[in-house]
Amino acid sequence: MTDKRPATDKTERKPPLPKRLKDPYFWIFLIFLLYPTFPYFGRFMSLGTELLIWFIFTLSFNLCLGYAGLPSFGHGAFYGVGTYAAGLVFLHVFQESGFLIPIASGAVIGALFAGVLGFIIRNKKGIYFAMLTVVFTQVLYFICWRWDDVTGGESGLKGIVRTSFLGLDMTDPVIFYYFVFVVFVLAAIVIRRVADSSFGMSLQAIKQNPIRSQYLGYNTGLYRFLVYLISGFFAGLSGALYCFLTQSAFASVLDWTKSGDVVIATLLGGGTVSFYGPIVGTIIFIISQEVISSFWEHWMLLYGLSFVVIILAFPTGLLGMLKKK
Amino acid sequence: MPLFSIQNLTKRFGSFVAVNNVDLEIPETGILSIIGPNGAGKTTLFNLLTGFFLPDAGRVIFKGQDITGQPPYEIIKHGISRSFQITSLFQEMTVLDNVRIGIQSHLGDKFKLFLNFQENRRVKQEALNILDRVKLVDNRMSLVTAISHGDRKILDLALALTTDPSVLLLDEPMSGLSIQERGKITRLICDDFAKNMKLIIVEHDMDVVFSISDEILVLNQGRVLVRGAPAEISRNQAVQEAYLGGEKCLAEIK
Amino acid sequence: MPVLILSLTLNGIVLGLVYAAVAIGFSLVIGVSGVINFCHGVMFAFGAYFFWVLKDVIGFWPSVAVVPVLVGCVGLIIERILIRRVYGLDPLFGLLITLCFAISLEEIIRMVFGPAAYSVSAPSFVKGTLIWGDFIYPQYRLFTGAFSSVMIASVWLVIDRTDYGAIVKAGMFDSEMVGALGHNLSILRTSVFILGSAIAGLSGILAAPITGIKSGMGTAILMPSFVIVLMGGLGSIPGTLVGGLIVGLSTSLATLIIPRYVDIIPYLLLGVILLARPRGLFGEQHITE
Repeated sequence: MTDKRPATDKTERKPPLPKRLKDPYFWIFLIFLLYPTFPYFGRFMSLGTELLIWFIFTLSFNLCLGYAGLPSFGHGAFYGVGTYAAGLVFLHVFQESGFLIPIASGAVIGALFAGVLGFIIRNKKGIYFAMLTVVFTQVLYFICWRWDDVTGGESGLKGIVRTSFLGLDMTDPVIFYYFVFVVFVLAAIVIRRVADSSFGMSLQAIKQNPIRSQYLGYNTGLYRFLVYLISGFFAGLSGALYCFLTQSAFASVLDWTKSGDVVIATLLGGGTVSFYGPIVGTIIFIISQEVISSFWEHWMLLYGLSFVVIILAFPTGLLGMLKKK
Repeated sequence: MPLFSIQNLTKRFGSFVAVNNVDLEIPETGILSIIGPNGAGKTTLFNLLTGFFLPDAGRVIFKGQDITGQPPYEIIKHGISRSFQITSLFQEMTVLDNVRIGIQSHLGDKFKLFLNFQENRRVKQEALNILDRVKLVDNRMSLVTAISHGDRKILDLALALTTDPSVLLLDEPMSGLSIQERGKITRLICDDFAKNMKLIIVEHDMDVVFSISDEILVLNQGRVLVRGAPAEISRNQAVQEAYLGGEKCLAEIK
Repeated sequence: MPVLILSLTLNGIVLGLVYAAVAIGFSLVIGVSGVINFCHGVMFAFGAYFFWVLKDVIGFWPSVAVVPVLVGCVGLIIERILIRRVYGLDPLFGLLITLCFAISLEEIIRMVFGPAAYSVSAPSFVKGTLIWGDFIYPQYRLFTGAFSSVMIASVWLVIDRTDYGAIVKAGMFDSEMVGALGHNLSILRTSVFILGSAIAGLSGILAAPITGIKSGMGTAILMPSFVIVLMGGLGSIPGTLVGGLIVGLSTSLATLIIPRYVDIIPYLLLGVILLARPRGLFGEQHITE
């Protein structure tokens, strides 16, 4: 595996281009700022919004997977829980006030559940760790599915609407897209700061050598708990945004067969070797899903097989492969 | 008051007793070397003293305080640090970053979510100071995987220094090194470490052991065989017997 | 009321035995190969589907003999082409690859057989019901319970009493030991995989008349396996049996008290057990590290 460089390159001499232009975020933000104006794609606002939501999800998940080295299969559940939390808060608590509070609730509840799992697995490793995260997802799935007074069971939550916010009409897909874009920009900046921070480097140290880290004063269990808390917050946030995108919440979001999705999307682009890997991977993952599912009923077959092949061939993802060249 | 007071310390792995009811007091001054044939329990003893293993019986008292069972990240707060027999480094980082990981912990920056690691000047300066001390500054931007084995051993020592210890446990600092590299580390130990910290060294290189130690402890099969000044140890019959069939004959040196 | 309880208890035991039989293969592969195999559940499904295809063609007992062999072959192919590529890697990859592949396999099943459920009737020799005073119970379930018990007992005997089993035990979480003892790790892993798949396939045949045959049954049967294996202890056959029985019985009997949240009971029990004993009931200490 290659060296995990910080997201912003610090070169000793003055770069020829202004530093801003060398920052991948500049280009990513620019492209997605202009997304609705794109000739063909621009019409698919829902797809664009979903991409932004998943960027938040996978970038933060990568703190757990790529930085801390924790292959958690529980994060799909935190996303799902965020969806439900947002929907429920909207429907039962804050009907009139719009959606900032439900979205915040989604994030907080996501962090809460992640904190619980993070606490449980804080010192566990290997097979045992992986199995516990899968089981945790299963429990949450069953609770959401069965507790149908609250969660609506199989039919899910309905009646969630986007109202107006700051005087803007959020039912307009384009306006909602830009709302999510703003959230994405803020989240993306925060997540990158965390990744480049002392804390982020501590995570990497613990991943690379947990024993030595302990001998240098790192309480490894505490760090694992904290990274779960943080990534769970953003997973819940993403789920909450998704709730308002689709104006619904379904237990299928928590289906454990989907718990691999976020892992694949994060790995695919090269999350284990680059901070920006998840962005690349998410684009590939979501768009290929959209494309394949639209022309073949049995797209799941192709989907499953292609990821098997890709993951086996490129375990470090697309960016990992490019870096080796 | 002795620095370490080890009482009835026992560690078992299944039916194998690695450390067998060891009673030991280690004074505050003087370089103590621990020698013994392979499997004598030397590294296990270090692991017990530094909280990596939980003993099956017994206690470890450090400066009057019971530290038995405390995990490594608590132990180092008492000023105890250790190096590793097989170098234990952060494989995907540069030499400088390795040391920075240690320093940022010591300076209390490791939790900070928004403090940029690369831009932290205080940590960087302290790290450079340590690298300067061990004479590894030139290699600081190299990846750990790209430097020589000798430099990796030195980096391992440097990491142990980042916690600013008062007691340093060195686990086979000479293993796998050339004569020249051994000299470099011996000088580090004598000119720097010994003057600033209490040293407890596990080592197989008898030349080094006998030339720098104030006191030698001989372990065999998990027990203390004998203990004393280098001159006494080299004459000791039991020690020679323990070493037959593996190590250098002690009569040959000093 | 007591009749109902007896009925539910028997249901629970039978269900538990089927779960345990499926979980054994899952657990053995984890122990010997270090892979969490999501495709394992699909072997159960294949057993049921192959049985549905063959039973009217060659009859019940010949199907019982042939189908596990077919499923074993499928297992062999999967192990050779897919699973062995992740040996030694982080468990993440095994989970991910097998998850994706299982999704593909279930889609193939859906393509060939359609999403609708099929029903199979119990074989004629156990079609009836057992009547004992007020108590009525389908013979087929008793037959399933008995057959599963024999299956589990046979596997346990093989593992515990034969030379092959000794190698399996030695290789449990200690792959180096196998080579050190002079045996071929690769063949061991493949054989364990085939064995586990075949047993899962056989369980699929047995379960078919009770649960019906529908797409998605593969991943559905795997959910309890996770719980069972953690409960009983990774790599332990007695543990898997006990775990299976606990899950089966608790699920069945819970329908009396809280019918709606029945699925969650096993997880609560798992939580309690793991708090008291992280390694599981019969697990080895080192597994949790």
